[in-house]
Formats: sequence, C-alpha cells, structure tokens
Amino acid sequence: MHRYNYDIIIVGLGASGAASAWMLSKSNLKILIIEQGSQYNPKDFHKKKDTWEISKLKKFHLNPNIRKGKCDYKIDNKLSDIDIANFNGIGGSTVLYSGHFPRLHPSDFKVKNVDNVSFNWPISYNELEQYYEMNEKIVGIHGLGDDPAYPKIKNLRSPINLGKSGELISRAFKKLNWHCWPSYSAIDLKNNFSVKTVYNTYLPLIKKSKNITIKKNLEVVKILSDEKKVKGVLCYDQKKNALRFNSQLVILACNGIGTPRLLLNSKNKYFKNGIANNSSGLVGKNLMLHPLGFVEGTFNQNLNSDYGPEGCCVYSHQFYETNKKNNFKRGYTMQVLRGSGPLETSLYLKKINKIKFGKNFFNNFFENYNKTIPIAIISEDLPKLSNYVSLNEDVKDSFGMPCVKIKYKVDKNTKEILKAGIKSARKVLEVAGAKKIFSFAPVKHTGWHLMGTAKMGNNKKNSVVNRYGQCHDLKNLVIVDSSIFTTGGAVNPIGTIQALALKISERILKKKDDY
Amino acid sequence: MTIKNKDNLIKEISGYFKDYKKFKMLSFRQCAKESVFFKNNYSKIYRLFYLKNKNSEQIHDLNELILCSYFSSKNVIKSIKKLNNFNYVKRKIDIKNLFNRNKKKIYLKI
Repeated sequence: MHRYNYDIIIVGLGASGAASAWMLSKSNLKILIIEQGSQYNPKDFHKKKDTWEISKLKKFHLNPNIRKGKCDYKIDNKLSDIDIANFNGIGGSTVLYSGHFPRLHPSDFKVKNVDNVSFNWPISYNELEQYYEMNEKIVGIHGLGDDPAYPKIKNLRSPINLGKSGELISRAFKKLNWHCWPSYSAIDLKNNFSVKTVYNTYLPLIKKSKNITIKKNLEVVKILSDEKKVKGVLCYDQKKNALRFNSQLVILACNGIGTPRLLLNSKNKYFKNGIANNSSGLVGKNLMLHPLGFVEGTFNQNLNSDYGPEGCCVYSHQFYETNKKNNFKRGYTMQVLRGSGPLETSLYLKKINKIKFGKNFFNNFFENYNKTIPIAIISEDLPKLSNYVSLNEDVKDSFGMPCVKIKYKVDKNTKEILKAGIKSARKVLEVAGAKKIFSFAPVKHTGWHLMGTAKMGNNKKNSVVNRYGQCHDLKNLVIVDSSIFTTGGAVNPIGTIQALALKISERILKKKDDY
Repeated sequence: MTIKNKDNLIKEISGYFKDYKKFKMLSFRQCAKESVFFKNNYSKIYRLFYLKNKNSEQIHDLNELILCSYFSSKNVIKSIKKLNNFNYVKRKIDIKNLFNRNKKKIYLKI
C-alpha cells in the first residue's frame, strides 16, 4: 500500500470543503483534498443547453438512486417520508442547487432560550456574521439591502430581476401587508442565469494555491485513529487499489449523510460504534431535512415564469419566528419560485392527469406553461433522535463501502408548520388572482438539506463536535459540513454551511496547537 | 425495426399532439426527424407502445419517453422560445415602491 503524508486532509470538495480549503490555502500547510466523484464540465449542465431538462431526469437527477453515477452510493429511503437528494462530485450539491442564499436568523441559534425547544447552538449569529459577509462577497450574492427580516446585510449586488411573476406576487404580499423581499441569489447574470457553484467561486481560488493537491475519483472508506488522535485516511481508487494518506488533521466535508456514513464505517477497537461516537452516541442521529410544502397557482395571463434563473425570486419571512397564538413552535419561509420548463411542465401535468394526449394536448399545455407561480414552504425541522442515518451493511457501493439507510418521519410540529404555510401561500396566490391553486406536503423528493447528524454543542454527552467543529472524542478530527448544525432553521443552509466552514478553518490557522 | 414500423409508430404518436398547428408548434413527425432522444430511444418506445396490457409503471415510462422525445427536440425548444414574449429583461420594476426599506424589523432581536 502506498503511503503519503500531508498536514491536512479535507474529505469532500463541495460547498463546505471548498470554503475550508480556500481559508486554509492562506497558510503554507500541505493540504490534500480527496473527492470521491469526478469533475464535470459546467457547460454540460446549463439552462442554456437544449438538453438541460433531459439531463435533470438522469445524469443530473437529484436522487442518487436514479442518477446511478459511478461515485454515487445507494440510499435506502424505504423508512423515510422524504427521499434524500445530493450530488457526489467536485462542487457537491452546489452543482444542482438553485442558488438561493439566505442566512439563518439570530433566533435560530438560540431556540432553547427563545422557544424552549431543542438546543441552543454553541455560537451566535453575531459570531458568524463576519463569515457570512466574507462568503457572500466571494460568491457574489444578489439581493436588496435593508431587509426587515434580517440585521443589516452588506456587500449585496443589485437584486435579480423579479420578472412578471415576481412582480405580481410581490404586489399580493404588499396588499396583505406581509413581508416579501427579493431573494438572496447566487446567480450569474452574465451567463444566462446560471447558478454560481463551487466551480465558478471557490475552485479557481483554490487552484491558485501551490500547497493544495486535489485528488478526485478516490473514496475515503475509513478514518484511521488510535484512542486519542486521528492518523490519516484509507482510500480506494477506481481500480480498487488501497491508498493510505497520513496527516496531522482530517477535515470532513461530506454533507449530513456522507459524514456520518464515514464516521460509522470507521469503527475500530477504540471506537466500536463508529469513530468520534463514544461520548455521545449521536453520530447519524438527529437528521433534519426541511420538509417542503408545495403550493402552485395558475393564472390566466402569460407570466413568462419559465424565463430567468430557476430558483427563488422573492421570499417571505412573515411567519418565520414563533407566534404564541400558533399550535407549533418556530416557523417557515415562503419561497416564490420560477415556473418550470416545457418538459418538466408536461411531465408534471401528465403525472397529475391534467393533460391528455390527443386533440387538446397543446391547449392544456399552454393553459399552464408560463402561467404558474409556485411557492415552496420551507419548514423548521427540529432534531429528533428517531430520525437518523445508519449503515446498510447489505448493500455496498462500487468501492465496497456500505451504503446507508434513512429513517425519517415528519413530526407533529413540522406537519402543523406545513399546514399553516400552505394556508398562507394559498392566500397570497388568491390575492394575486390565481384561477386555480394546487398544494401538497411533504414533497417526497426534496431531502436536499441534510443536517444535524454530527451535531455541534458544548457538552460532549449530547453533541459530537464542539463550537470549533472539533470532534469531542478526537480533537484533530474536524467537521465543517451541515452535519454539525445544532438546529436547521427554515432557510436553505448553503450560506451558513460555508460561513461555518470559513470560521472553523480560520480557527485552525490561528490555533494550530489545539489540534 | 423496419422503416415501415418506425413510420407507423411516428404516425400513431403524432396523433397525441393533434392541435400543434393551432399553437404554432411542430408535429411529432417533424420533431422525430431531429430529436436525438427519440433516435436513442425509439426501440424502447416501440416495444412499450405496442405492448398489450401495460401496467401503470409501463404507461408512465412510455409517456415520459414520448414527452422527452418531443420537448427535447431543438426545433420544438426554438419554437417555444419564439412563442414566448420574453420582455423580461426590458421590464423595469419600481423596487422602491414595491419593497419598503424603512419598514420595522420583523426578526427577533436576541
């Protein structure tokens, strides 16, 4: 077996791994990034391409069980209300996301104090604020300042054009006197509204560093340790050759499913239930997925809703904080999306029997295409021990590593939030003049926010990592991805993931002796 | 598959998109000529199309293959783009009027 030595190994080159690598590239430390997937050409998956919609059905499908890429591992969702969505490869899930970049609210970090639910984060909004700013500057976020839903947000680029549909729905929110604001968007206006992914934000910056080596198509199957220290990682290449990399510090950036999978698979004689899992036993537990509600209004007029960036154009945090009159704690975001493309529209209409082949096909099609406004309800999803990721020893991936099983049930509080969110969204669409409104929840295929499975906290009995992302059981094993979220809030996590990765990595540079 | 069989299949599927002229769209026959997806999948479509007693999964698969064949055609995409009056970029929205930047903060201050 070949052995190689590095100062730091980062496992995963998605949103968090890339941000972490960029911060660490400021040092002269010898860094290795290992990515199990390959590098794809961003031009292959671009809204401008005629094959865009077809790609989303297979090669770039959200669900790895359908996509079946070489580096994908099967996820057993049989015991889950929601199917897991991810992307394995350089860029991680930023390859498929919609570029919506909101922050958590200050109250999200203190839910125990504010609402007597779950746990407080061991850090505050104020501590994370400068890293949100740093990240938003690097990515280049569009938005409008002075948003009543947040403390001041600086460095925003001009808001994305709302389009006809965004304007119409914003007026409806205004009539109701409800909060509504242009979304925080990572969209490249000069490149046909493509989303800004790791490829066009952090990756070019990382590649400038001579100290960083990127190895792709290499799967880390085990983290190697004794009882006190991590020693390195064991990998397999695509020819199933075993490779060992030694390092002073290992950083995990494999998302809320990949990270617990690796920790659980790394059991050894010192950590019999998975590495870093002795003190709390919480590795893989507390999975949060942000169950989604979907409400769609169909209008008489053409709203050009398929034109523009795919993601959210405006959003509302009117019902984000806890209201004592409600029968639930915490709240939700209403995200106003763009309409879908012609293929997706036709497939969706066919699936729900709203279009028939024959003499009225296009009549039905054009009654809907470009005439819809969808609103997604993102609900707070509080952590539960009964929602978890575990290894599926019966099913192995192409490298021989066990795949995963998900057990996840939408809880009562979340169901109530979704119910209220749908009611509110229907009201906005009614006021906007929708002639038909359709809604359901939870949406099965939307498990794309993977959080909480190696939770952050001050007490090693009820958390896996400390406020610096260090595992309580192994100080030189650090986690920077969304698995460390203590709670999930009710917004897309990307901005918080990258801000946390920057904060944790900056601390590594400042306090090297603590690892 | 013989050319005759392929022609019959295209003819049958063309009947699925009967009102194309009224909406200035292309016929299935026109799009089948250049749809890469259709070329790559027509044997599968043929098999499913003429399969007797199709189950719901097979019906779903066939529908998906037909819709993908049609809507992935370059000319169909072009005609849809032409039909849309994309005045999106030209529209100027009065942001100041729509979003009040002096409104009271609604987030909980900790």
